[in-house]
Amino acid sequence: MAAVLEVRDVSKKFSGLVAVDGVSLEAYEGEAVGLIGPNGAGKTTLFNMISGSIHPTSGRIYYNGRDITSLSPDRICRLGIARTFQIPQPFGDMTVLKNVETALLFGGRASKGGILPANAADICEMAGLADKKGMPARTLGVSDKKKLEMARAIATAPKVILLDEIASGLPVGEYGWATGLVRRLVGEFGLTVIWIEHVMRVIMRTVDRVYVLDHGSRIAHGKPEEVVNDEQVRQAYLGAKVG
Amino acid sequence: MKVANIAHGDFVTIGAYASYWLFVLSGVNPILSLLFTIPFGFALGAASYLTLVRRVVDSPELMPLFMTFGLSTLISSLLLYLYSPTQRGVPISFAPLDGLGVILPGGVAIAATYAVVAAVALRLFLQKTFLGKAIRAVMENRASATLMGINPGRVGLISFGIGISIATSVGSMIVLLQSFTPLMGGDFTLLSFVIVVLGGLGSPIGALVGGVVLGVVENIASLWLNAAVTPAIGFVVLVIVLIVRPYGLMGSK
Amino acid sequence: MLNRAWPGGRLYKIGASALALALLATAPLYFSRLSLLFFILNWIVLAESFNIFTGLTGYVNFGHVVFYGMGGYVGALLMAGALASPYVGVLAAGLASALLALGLSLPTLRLRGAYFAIASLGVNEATFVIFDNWPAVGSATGITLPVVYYQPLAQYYTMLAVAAGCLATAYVLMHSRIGTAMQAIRQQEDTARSVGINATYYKTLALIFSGLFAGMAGALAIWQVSIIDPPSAFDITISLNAISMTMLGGIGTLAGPVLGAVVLYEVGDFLDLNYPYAHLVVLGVIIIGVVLAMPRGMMGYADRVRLLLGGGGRKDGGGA
Repeated sequence: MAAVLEVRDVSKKFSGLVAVDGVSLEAYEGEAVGLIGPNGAGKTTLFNMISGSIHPTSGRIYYNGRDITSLSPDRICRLGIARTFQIPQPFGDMTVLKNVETALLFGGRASKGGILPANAADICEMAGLADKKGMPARTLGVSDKKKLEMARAIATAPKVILLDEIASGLPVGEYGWATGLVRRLVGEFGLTVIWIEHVMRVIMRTVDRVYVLDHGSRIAHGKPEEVVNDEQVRQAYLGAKVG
Repeated sequence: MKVANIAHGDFVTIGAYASYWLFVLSGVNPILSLLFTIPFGFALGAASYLTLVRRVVDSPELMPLFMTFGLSTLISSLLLYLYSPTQRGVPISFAPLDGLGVILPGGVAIAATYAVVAAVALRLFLQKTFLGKAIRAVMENRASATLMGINPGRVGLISFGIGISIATSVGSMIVLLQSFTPLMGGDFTLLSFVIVVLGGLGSPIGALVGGVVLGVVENIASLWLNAAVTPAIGFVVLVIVLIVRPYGLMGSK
Repeated sequence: MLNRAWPGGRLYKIGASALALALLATAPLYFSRLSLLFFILNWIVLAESFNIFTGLTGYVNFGHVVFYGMGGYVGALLMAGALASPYVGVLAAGLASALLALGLSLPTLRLRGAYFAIASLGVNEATFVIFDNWPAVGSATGITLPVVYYQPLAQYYTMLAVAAGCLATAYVLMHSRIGTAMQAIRQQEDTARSVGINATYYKTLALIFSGLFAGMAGALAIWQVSIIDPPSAFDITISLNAISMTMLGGIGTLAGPVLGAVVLYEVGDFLDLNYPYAHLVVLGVIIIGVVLAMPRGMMGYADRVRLLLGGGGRKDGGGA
């Protein structure tokens, strides 16, 4: 089976500093892939490259076999790759509902088809924002802003969805919301999810495979239980929280 | 803090008028007037920060731009109101400096020396002192600097004060080089942005290099082009640099 | 936007606009100072066209006068050379400024936030220098129109038509899909891009419309005053006035720039006659005051009054 998303040997340098160094990864239809690694490992930079907000110094990125390396973020979104931001950045003066409607309006839903809900209120409900629809987005708390990130991404009717620390910063009781929603997106709607997360016990229970980045390089890859036992990964996380 | 100060050049004008009046009324040499314009600029900057800038630091980016544009209008029009549009200059000259086969007019030599001293001092301040490091930390990442116990408000106050005190002290040097009017501030604002973009944001030595580069480019260009066109050269350089290197020739993101 | 608390709101607005248009269209019958109305309308177009770009996208264009000056020159050249009727001249001036906007957008709209604002100051400076040294447009002397172009009635009605067109365009931009895109860009550009909004396209579109109407206003102004030279055509105080009017009235709103232009034109006229430099001081104070105390301008107060009268103010859109 061909990969939906293929990142091939991608590097990014910022004025001499190597943020991402020759990373490759694939993701297939209907799977959840984890992307973990210590702070500064280059995970978000990789997301920024996949979603087109920055362009790689070298390497290519393919979506359904099509080279999307130098496309703009809005093109990439309309093709079917959605993202959330690590620090939520909603349209602050719009209501929650209007945020989602905007994404519905411009995400290119019509041409993508799919079975994700096409109604802003349904999407809010799916993301757990049913009773917050009328609130201006800037007045939301951290948890609800994370949910709005998710709702907005879903509203663009993506085939691939990039989640950047959607569970970090949530109260422990809300972790179930994140894992439940990811499982639903993958299982019920057949989406491909790539998920950056620091909260290990949340991500390791949810994803099918994990890639581990450290200092910009890919240091391990495999099923969650294999990766956890990997010597190099333990080294990278020494002193950090595992499990 | 991310406030682009459109009124920056108008503080240069204020410095020029301060030195002018000190000279005219009490015969103070413009070089000595630095002792006044530097602390005076700091006080002005701190006061502007506390009364105006502080309140828009967290607003959408267009608000500080409008605010400082309004401030620029206010300063230049008040100076017009008080002192009329008449060109003024300080009638003072210094012995030219002759060395290494070039003769520098005295005023130019003094102003250039001041520029180097100020840039080096500012760099040392930013690199070596606690306060300087705090300013850099806030520039880098306001949120995490706050977490480390830095008060971004105080850092904003001090850095704005320093910025304005440099602007007013530059005014003291300008009077050694040229005559001036209440409306010259806009040109200096534009020039200072061109230079900062050339040299990279937050780098005093970069600014020095940027200033020299711009000066050289303008002078070389004026060999071919009509002298009246030179003011536009800075802008052309600005646009080219912004397109090629959005974070400056020497800066990094 | 639905105004549930004020069901007649929409009808009321349409009625008020129609009444205003009717009064202005019949004004020559009973009002002798047509040039006063002409200049108020001219400023309304300048302020609203500034608002179309800066108010909707959040990018500050300090060089708005460049479109006005460019339009003025194109109109002046066509009329002075008897190459086109004034009507064609006004239209051509608008198109020329729109084209200039498109050209300028290519390098400058890649810049974000303050960088764009500063580049716009530079564009102003550069355009002035070019026109000041360009023999084909009269260099520093500029261009003077022959006296045959003294046509007060035609000038007034063309001005009225352009103003109506400008406000209608602004209304459509604000209340359409395009308006939603621009609102999103203004509030959070990265997010806007991430949900499929082609930010560069919408910003360029806004700048083109902004240039189109400012250009027509420029040609109309030269038709009326008959003389144009670089310092008057590219005077930054024209941008300053447009900014003050838009801010005072309420940036990002349709009626704000209109209100601001009506109020500030009168004030400015009075000050210019009596206290020459005070006019600029007042504009500086107005801008600072609006930013500090009423970022949504007079329209912000209008909303507050409406809220007091029974809820239902505008929930989104509006001020920056």
